[in-house]
Amino acid sequence: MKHAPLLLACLLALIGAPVLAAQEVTAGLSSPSTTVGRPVEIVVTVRGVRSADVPERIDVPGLQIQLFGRSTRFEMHNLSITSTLTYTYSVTPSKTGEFEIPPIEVRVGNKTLRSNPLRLQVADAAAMPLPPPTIPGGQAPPMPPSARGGNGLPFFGDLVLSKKKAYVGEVVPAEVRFYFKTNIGGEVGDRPNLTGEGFTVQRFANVPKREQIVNGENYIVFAFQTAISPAKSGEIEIPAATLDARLQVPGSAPPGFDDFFRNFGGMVPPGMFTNAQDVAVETRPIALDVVSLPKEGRPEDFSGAIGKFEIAASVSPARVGPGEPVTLRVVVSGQGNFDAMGAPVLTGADEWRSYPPTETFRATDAINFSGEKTYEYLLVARADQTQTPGVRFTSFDPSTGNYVVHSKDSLPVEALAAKATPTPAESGSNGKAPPATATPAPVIAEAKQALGASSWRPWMEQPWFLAANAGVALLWVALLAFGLFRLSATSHAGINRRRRRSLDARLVALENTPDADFAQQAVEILHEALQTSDSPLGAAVALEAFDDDTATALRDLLARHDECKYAPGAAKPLDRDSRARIATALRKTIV
Amino acid sequence: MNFRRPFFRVFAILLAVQATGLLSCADLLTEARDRLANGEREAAAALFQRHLDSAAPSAAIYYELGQLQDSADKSADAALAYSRTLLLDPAFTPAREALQAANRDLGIPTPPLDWRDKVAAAVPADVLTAAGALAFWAGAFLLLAPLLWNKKNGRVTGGFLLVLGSASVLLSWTTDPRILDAREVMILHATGAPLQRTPTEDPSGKITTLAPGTLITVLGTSGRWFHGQLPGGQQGWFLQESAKPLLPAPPQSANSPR
Repeated sequence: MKHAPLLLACLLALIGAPVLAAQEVTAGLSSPSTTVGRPVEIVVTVRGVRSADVPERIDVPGLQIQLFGRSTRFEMHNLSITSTLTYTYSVTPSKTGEFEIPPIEVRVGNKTLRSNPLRLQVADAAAMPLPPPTIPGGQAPPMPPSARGGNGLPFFGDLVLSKKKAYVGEVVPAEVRFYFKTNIGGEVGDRPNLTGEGFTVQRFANVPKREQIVNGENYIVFAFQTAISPAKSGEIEIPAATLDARLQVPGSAPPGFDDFFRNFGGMVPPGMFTNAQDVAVETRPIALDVVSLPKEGRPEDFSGAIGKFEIAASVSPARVGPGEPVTLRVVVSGQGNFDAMGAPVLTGADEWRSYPPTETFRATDAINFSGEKTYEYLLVARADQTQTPGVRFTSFDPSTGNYVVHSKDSLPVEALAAKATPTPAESGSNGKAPPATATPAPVIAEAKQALGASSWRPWMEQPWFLAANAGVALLWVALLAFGLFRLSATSHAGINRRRRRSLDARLVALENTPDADFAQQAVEILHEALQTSDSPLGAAVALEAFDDDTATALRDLLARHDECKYAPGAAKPLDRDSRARIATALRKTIV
Repeated sequence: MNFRRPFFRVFAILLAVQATGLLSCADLLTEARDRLANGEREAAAALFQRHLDSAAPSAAIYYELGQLQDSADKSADAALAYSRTLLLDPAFTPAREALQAANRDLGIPTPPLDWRDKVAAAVPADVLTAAGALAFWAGAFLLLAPLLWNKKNGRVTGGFLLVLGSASVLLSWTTDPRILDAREVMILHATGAPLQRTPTEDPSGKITTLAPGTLITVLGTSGRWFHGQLPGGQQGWFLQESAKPLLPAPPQSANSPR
């Protein structure tokens, strides 16, 4: 029992893995397009469940969809078990059109899972000979002759052409399929590689991955749709298309593992051991018999269109003024070589001036085989018109081997001819104005010249204009600054500020004034500070507003001033402290 | 005046060079008209073009060139010359009518005049700019009057002139075709030009074929390609060599008000 822990881990993994595996439903069509009465398959794959319920029938008007097969598979990859249920429906179209197959509901226990919706295009059986699709049967759907699948091959490729015989320039839809056994994992390239001489290949379009049973074995099919267009006659060999893939191929168990599992009465689970392998999966070369287009019966205005087409025409607006253009819109729809076809030809257009048409193409499939091409002709009436020109389009129908002429009659329209343009030097027959001599035009032109601009740059972008404006702006800013300065100088606050500055300067000078002049100078400062120069009594009154020390010092100053004035020489010299006290008191009067 | 001084010598040489250039331009124009009178249209067109390349642009000369191209059945080149005439002088009615006729020949609808075209035709943009600038600065200086001369009655007039001048310059900026059409190019290739979804020549990426004479607004460039927008809003890529800018200078990437 020394292997007991390992055995337990294996059992846990075996039990737990299916539970943990993600449940998902995917659906795929064996072919995205078919014809009426030709069945295709829907393969619904349910992963991560052991049982599920699916509907027996799916109701889509125009399609008969019936469940006809189911299978269950368990796989083990590196100790992880995956169970996959596969349900196969047969789809038989009863009419043409593009069908939307709704998501298929799968009941798993109490849950309902839904697949992705599908789109199927159904064409008329005569119009598009598609690759033979798989036919419901449950076991071994018939394969095209080129297929060599089944027979136990782990992977193989197959190129399916919609026909074996084609005309030069014809577009032949094709599908490149690569089959991988369902027990093989790995990754495949984005698109196959297919090149050769004597034909061109359209871009590849991915088809949803699907499962298919080939010779009793399950395969996953990666398919790519394209179109091949032969460029020369004779038998052309379409070489092998290759798809690069990195596969996880089932391998054998390492030595000892077989014995280990046999000890417990079992075998190594399939898919438990895999080997990585880089491969290039190839299709088989295939021959295409190409013939030239017949010369007999070829119309002179054959447009080069090969396929099955229809045309429609419309005009807008139905009524235009003199010289105004109308648009004649011609739509060529169907299936064929839209890239190589020429434009329809206008008939009875002598009285119209027409121009090469603009063209737009809208594809309705992934390989530009089906769709509609719109040509728009601008028409200007030379003379008043009540009908548009007619339209004629010739093509070659490869299914009948004959040229086909499509015609559309004139459409009613009301278009007036352009009136003559009153240009100064008008002459000539086509309404234009060729100047016979240089004289007439320059006379008028030069008369107008004075009004026209003489530069491609407008004045507002000319450097001289910008510089002149910048100069004016600078002048304006300078004047603004000057005005603001002057405003500041003449205001009350400005005057007061200057007076205070002057008094401060005189107070500083007072400190060094001799005693004889000190009282006189100090009183002048006092009167100026109190603005009482013309009223000595007013100064005495004004002193009441100050504190006692200040008022006392200033009254002493006034008394000393009177003493010096009326009794010169009687006054004692002032000591240093007295001068400082008076200066401090004076400073308090300056506000 | 002492002509021996170096300054005067240099000035005299510059004057002589300028005069020679003017004479040369006048000679080209005279010769172009002579050739045209003799029926040598190709040579006359080349001389007109040389004159326009070397002299100041003139609406009248472009109009002459347009008539010449018209007579040579070069409708797209004529349309370009008439469009340039109208850029320089939007009031040049004969050029507008001739452009309509050329567009008819090319199968291109001529857009109706909008209010910008009407304003540009009524008042030359440069006149509008100059008048606007004058009014603006007059108003600005009048607003300074109370500050400088203690005059109280200049404020209202100054404010009015300031607003009027600003509006005039703004109007000039939004209607001048030389600004509005600075990013326009015209398809001149005889067979038109394919408009592609991407800047490649892949035929499967073709949106449509641009007819000669089609005007497209350039939104950007990438190598040999212009990324442009048709009047209807459709955007795509087309080769630079298939088109010529409406303004002889390369298209500007600056935003325009239209």
